[in-house]
Amino acid sequence: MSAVIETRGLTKRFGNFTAVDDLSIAVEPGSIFAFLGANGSGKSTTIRMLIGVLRPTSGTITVDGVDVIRHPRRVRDRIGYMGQRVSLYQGLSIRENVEFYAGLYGLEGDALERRWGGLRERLALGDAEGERPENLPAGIRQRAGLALATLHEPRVLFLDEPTAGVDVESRGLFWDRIAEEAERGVTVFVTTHFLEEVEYCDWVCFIEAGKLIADAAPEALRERHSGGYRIHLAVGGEACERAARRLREAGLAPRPTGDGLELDTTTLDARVLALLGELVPPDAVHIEQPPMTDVFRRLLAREAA
Amino acid sequence: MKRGRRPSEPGRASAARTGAIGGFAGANPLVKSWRRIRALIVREVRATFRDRFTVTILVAVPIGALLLFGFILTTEVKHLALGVLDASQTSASRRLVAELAAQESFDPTVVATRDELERLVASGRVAAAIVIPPSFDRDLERLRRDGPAPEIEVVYDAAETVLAQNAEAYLRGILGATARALVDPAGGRPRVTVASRTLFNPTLDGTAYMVSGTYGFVLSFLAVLITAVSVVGERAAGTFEQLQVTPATSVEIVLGKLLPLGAVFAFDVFLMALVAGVGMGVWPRGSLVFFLVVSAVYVLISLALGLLISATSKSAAEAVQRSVIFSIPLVQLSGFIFPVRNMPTWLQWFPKVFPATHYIAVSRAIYLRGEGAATLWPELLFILAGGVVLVALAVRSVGARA
Amino acid sequence: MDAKGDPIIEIRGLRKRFGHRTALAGVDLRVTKRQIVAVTGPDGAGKTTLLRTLAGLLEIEAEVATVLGYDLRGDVTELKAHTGYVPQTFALQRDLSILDNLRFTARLHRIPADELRRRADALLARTGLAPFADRMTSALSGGMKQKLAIANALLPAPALLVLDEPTAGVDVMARSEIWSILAESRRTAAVVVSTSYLDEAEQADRLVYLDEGRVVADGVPAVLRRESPRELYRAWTDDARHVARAARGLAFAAAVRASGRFVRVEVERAPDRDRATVTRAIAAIPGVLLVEPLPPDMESTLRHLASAA
Repeated sequence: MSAVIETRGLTKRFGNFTAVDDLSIAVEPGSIFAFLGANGSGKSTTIRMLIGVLRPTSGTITVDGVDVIRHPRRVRDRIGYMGQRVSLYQGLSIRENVEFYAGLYGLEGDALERRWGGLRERLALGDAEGERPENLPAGIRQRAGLALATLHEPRVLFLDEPTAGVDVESRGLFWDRIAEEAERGVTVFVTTHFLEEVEYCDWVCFIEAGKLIADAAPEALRERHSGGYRIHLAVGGEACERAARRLREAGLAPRPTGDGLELDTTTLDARVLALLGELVPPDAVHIEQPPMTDVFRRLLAREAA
Repeated sequence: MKRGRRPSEPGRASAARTGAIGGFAGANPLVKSWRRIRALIVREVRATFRDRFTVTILVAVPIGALLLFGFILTTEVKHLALGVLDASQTSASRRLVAELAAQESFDPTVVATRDELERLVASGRVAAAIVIPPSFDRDLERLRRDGPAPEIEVVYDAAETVLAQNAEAYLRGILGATARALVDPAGGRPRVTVASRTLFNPTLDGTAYMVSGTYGFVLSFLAVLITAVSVVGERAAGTFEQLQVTPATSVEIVLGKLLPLGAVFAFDVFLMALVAGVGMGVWPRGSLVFFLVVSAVYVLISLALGLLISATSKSAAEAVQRSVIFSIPLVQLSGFIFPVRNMPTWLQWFPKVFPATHYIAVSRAIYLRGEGAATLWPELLFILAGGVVLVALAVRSVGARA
Repeated sequence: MDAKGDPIIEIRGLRKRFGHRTALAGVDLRVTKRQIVAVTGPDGAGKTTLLRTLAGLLEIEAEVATVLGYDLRGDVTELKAHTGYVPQTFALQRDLSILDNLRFTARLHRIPADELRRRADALLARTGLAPFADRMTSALSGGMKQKLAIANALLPAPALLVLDEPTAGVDVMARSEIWSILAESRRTAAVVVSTSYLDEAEQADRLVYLDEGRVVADGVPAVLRRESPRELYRAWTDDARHVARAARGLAFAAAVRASGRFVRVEVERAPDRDRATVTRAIAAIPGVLLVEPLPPDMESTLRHLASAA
C-alpha cells in the first residue's frame, strides 16, 4: 500500500533559522496521523508545505501521487485544510461562508443542501448557521471550520491544531468527526500539542526543533518508553490462587498484594486481556496505562542523553 | 509492525468515489472557473457592503475631496487684493488702475508711498502689488512708436509663489492688453477678459481645473488604500491562505477582487461627475461616456496596485503607511495641484512614470479642452500598458508561495 | 489565611462588561489558603478577565472585591506591588539576557542589589534557567521564555501569583517543570492559574470552572470527580474503531471514543441502570476483550459541568 502523503528530506530554512530539518515521513491511507510538537517546533511550517502554500528549501513532497512542490494546484480539490486561524470571513454568516467555499469547489444546489445538512447535524451547528463568526464562541467557530474543510469530501484532511483553545465538549465532537472521516477512508493529518489526543490516532510523529524524534504507533512508543502496563486484580482466596496459577502458565509474573494480585506487562495483547476477562469479574480488574506524558518525557530524556 | 488501520472495504470504496466531488464530473472548465469567480464576487460584495465604515469612506471621501478641491482649494485668481502704487499719476495710469478694478479678479488698494506698499505686501493684506513707474506716459508714447513696452514692477510675497505666479501671468496679460488698448484705441483688440482667458494659463478656470484633477487623486489614493487594507486583513486573519488551498486560481482571485471593487469605484466616478455637474456646474467639455470608460480602466490599475502593496505588507497599518507614502509624491508630482511644467526640467520625466500623471492629464484634457481618443491615444496607451503590467504583477503576487 | 487573618481573595458578585459584551456576570471566589487554584472553561468564558481583575488591572463592579486586603475598586497600586502577573502574551526585554531581565525587573520594584542577587540565584535554580543566565531572551525556546516570565513575576516575592495559560503550546518537559515551579510557589503565595490542559487541572488543589462569565463549579478536583454523575468504562480491544462505532449505538452512551487499545465509554448515571448491566452490554459488543469500569476522570467531569452550565 503506497503512502498517501510522503516526504523525503523535507527542509525549510528562514535565513539562518532551520524550521524543519530533513523530515522524511510516510502516511498510510485511511489513517489518523498525529504530528506532535510544541509551539515553534516546526509543525505549522510542515503542514503549510504539505498543502502547497509554503515552498520548501529542499526535499520532496507527494500527496495522493502529486508532486506538491511543482504542481500544487493539482491536489486542491482533493485536500481539505483547517488552519490555526479559522478561515471564516467576518461579516458573513456561517451559512454564507459555507455557500462561498462550496462555490469554489463546485458544490451547489441540492448536493450542497444535502452535504451541509449532514454536517450541520453532526457538528451541532444548527443554531449558529445564521450567526456571524465574530458573535460565536471559539468552540463553535472551530466546528464550523471543520465543516468547511470537509464540505467537498476531500480524500486527505490537514488539520492544524484544531482543538487548541477549545472546550472539552467541542474537542470530543471534533475527534468523533475525525474518527468518522477515517472510517470512510479519508486520511487525516493532524497537528496538536495535546498529548492525550495522540491516543486517538493510528500513528504519531514527534517533532522537536525541526527534527523528527519519534515516528511510530502510539502503542509502540508506549512499549518502548515506559514501564509498561500495571494490572491490579482485586481477588481473594481460592480464586486468587487459581488466577495466579493461570497467569504464571501464560508467562506472566503476578505478585501478591494486600487485596489480590499485581502484575506488570509491556504488551497488553488479546491473549492477556481475554485471560483477565475469564479469571475475574470486570470490576475487579484495574489496568494502569502509562500516560502519554510519561512516555514522551522518557523519550525526550533518552534523546537528550 | 502494523501501520495504520486498514479501512473496511465499503469505506475505501466511498473514498474512491468521493474523489470526483470537487467540481462536478464532466463540467466545462470555463464554466467551473466562472462559478468560482461568481462565488468570490458574491462574497466580496456581501463583505464590503456590510462594513459600514468602508461604505461610508467609499462615498464620503470622493464627494468630500471634490468639494474640498473644487470649492475651497481652487487656485483661481479671484478678488485678489492688489496693492497699487501709481507713481505716474497721469490719465493713462489712472485708466490702467480703473481697468484693473473693473475685473473681478483684483481688488486694488491704492497707496501713495513705496514704504506703504511694501508694508501691505509684508503684512499679507495684499497678495501682490504693482508699481506704475513715473515714466509710464512717456513709455506708452514710445510703445506707440514701436519702442519697448512699459515696465511695470510686480511685487509679491515669495511665500505665495503659486498664487503669485498665476497673478503675475494674469497681470501681464491685462497690463499688456490695456497698454495696447491705450496705445491704439481703435485697434479693434478683443476685450481684455476674453483675451486673457484664451491666451493664458488655464488655472484661471480654477474649479474645473481642480475638479478634473480630483478624480485622479481619489482613485489613486482611495482605491489603493481600500484594496490594500482589505487584502492585508485577509492575510492576517488567515482566510487568504485558506483561499490558496482551494481550487481558485490566482487570476480568479484577482478578478474576484477587481470586478466588484472596480464596479464600486466606477460608480464613485459617476457619482462624482454628477455632483460636480449638478452641484458645481462643472461638466466635461468632452464626452462624459468616454471619460467614464477611461476612468474605469484607471480604477483597475489602482486596484491592482493595492493588491501589490498588500502582498508586501504584513499588517493593515503597514499597508496604510505604504499607500499613503506612495500617494504623497503622487499629489506633489502628478500635476494635480502643481503643474508639471513648473518643476525643474531634470525632474519632469519622473511623474511621467506614474499612470496617475497621465490619467490626470487625460481627465483635464477631456474636461477642459474637450479632447477625445483621437488626440489622447498616447496617454491612453500608456495607461492601458501600465494597467496590464500591474494586473499581471498582482496575479503573480497572489499566487506566490512564501 | 494570610498573616493578617483575612482571606487572600474575597470576591462576591463580580461583574465586568466591555461595551455590549458581558465578560463576567456575577462571580464569587474565596481563597483563604496558599494553594493552586486552576481556572478552566471554554474560550470566552471570562478566564482572562477574571485573572486581570485579580491582578488589579480592571475597573469592576462587585458586592465585595478584596484581594490581599485591598479593595479592587479603590487604589490598587499597593496591591500590584504584592501581586505577580503573567499574561498570555507577555513582553520580555528581548535584547537582554535572562539575568539582565531579572535585574530590570528588580529595578522596577526597587529591590536592592544584594537582595536581588539572592533571589535571582534562588529563582534561576528553581526554574532550571541557571545554566542559561547569560543567554539572550530572543534565543530562548517557548518553554524557557515562559519560565523567565514566571521568574520575573516571582522576583518581588508576591503574595499572589496570577498566570494566564502559562503552559499553552509549551513542550511536555517544560510544562511539567512549570507546574513544579508553581507547586513550590505555594509555600509563599497563593497561585491562581488558568489552563486548558486536563492533566494540569487535575493537579491543582482547587478547580474553578467558568462558563459564560459565571462559576459553574468550584471544588477540589478529586471531590468534583467523585461527585460527577458520569460513569466511565474502558472496553479493551484490538479493533477500537469498530467497537467504538458499535458502542455509539448503545442507548445509554453519552460519549464514545476509540483511544488506542481501548474504547472510552461515558455513561450518565441512572437509577434504573447498574454498573453490571452496562458492563454486560458493552462486553457483548463483538471484539471487546475486557470491560473495565472506572471512576470518572477529569474529562467526563468537565464535560458534565459544561453541559450542566
